[in-house]
This record gives sequence, C-alpha cells and structure tokens, in this order.
Amino acid sequence: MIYYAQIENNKCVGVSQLNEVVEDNSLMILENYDTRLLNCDYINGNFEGYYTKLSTDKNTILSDGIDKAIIVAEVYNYLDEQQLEFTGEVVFELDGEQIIKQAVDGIATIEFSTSLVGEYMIKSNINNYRTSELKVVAQ
Amino acid sequence: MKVSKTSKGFLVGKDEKQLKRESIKNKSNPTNKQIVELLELILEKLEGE
Repeated sequence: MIYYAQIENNKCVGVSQLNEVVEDNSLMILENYDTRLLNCDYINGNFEGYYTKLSTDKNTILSDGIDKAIIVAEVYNYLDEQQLEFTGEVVFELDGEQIIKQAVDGIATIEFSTSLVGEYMIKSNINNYRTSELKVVAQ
Repeated sequence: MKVSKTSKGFLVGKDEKQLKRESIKNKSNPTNKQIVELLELILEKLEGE
C-alpha cells in the first residue's frame, strides 16, 4: 500500500492509500497514512498545521455583563506537539463575530462576558487548519 | 443577541430590537404606534422561529 497526500494550492486537501504508484504532480508520497495532514499547508516540502486547545478559568459565569471567563488558547502543531514558540495569529469566533489575537509564547487569550442567560460556544482556529470549541454557560 | 468586540474579547448583550421591545413592554401607557411597533417586532420574531 502506498500513501499519498493530495496538494492543491499549497494545501493538503486529501490523504489516500492506493495499491499502485500514481504519477501526479499534486500527489506527495507519505510514509504513513496520517489524516492529521488534512488542511495542513505544504510549504517548501514541509507540512504545517496549527490548532488550539481551549480552556477557561470558568465554565459558568453570571449573566450580569461584568463577570467574565478568561478563554485560553494553547497552540499545538498537527503532530499534537505544543508550540511554545508560536507567535502567529489565533482567530476566536463567537456567533459569526471574529477577534484575531497574536499568540505570545504559544498562548492567546480573550475575555468573555454576557448580560444574557444562555450557552455560548466559543471557537478558535489558526489559518483554518482545525477548529476548536469551548462552551461557557451564563446563568 | 448582539456580540460586541472589545479590546479584550467578546461582550454579549441585548440587540436593538430586544431593547426596543422591552422599552415598549415596560411602558404603562404606550401609544397606538408603539403597540403596533411591538406587534411587528413580535411577529418578526415568530416568523424567524
């Protein structure tokens, strides 16, 4: 079995396993079948993909518009290795609104507060590689 | 629901329609025009659900 990553516009858009060698400029031979490569950028012969693991100091806050949860995004690469040197942009999203924060030492943070009772799903991603989600409840 | 972006993060509050609806609801003596506005807002919400 031969494993391939399909590259389009410098991005991995597919990972496949084939029985035969296929000659195609868009196919890169891989050592392993690794679906984590999906959506990775392919730059100068290397795959690059970063995602975040989200955490918060409070999963539940008061809906008074004052109480706040600190949302922390820790950056990992596609191999699930924490990237403490990462200083790129992290995109946070809530209900279609986006905030872009520059990571410092592989960590980006935002605050969240609300005056409305409900459940809120905060998302984050880096260059659309993989989206992470975190739920905060406001009472 | 209105999501505002601040320098530190997200702040969620009531949107303009919610605020208007509440302001009319809390009036003890609303005008006919305000009642019509309130009905329109309620109908709009119902149609959206």
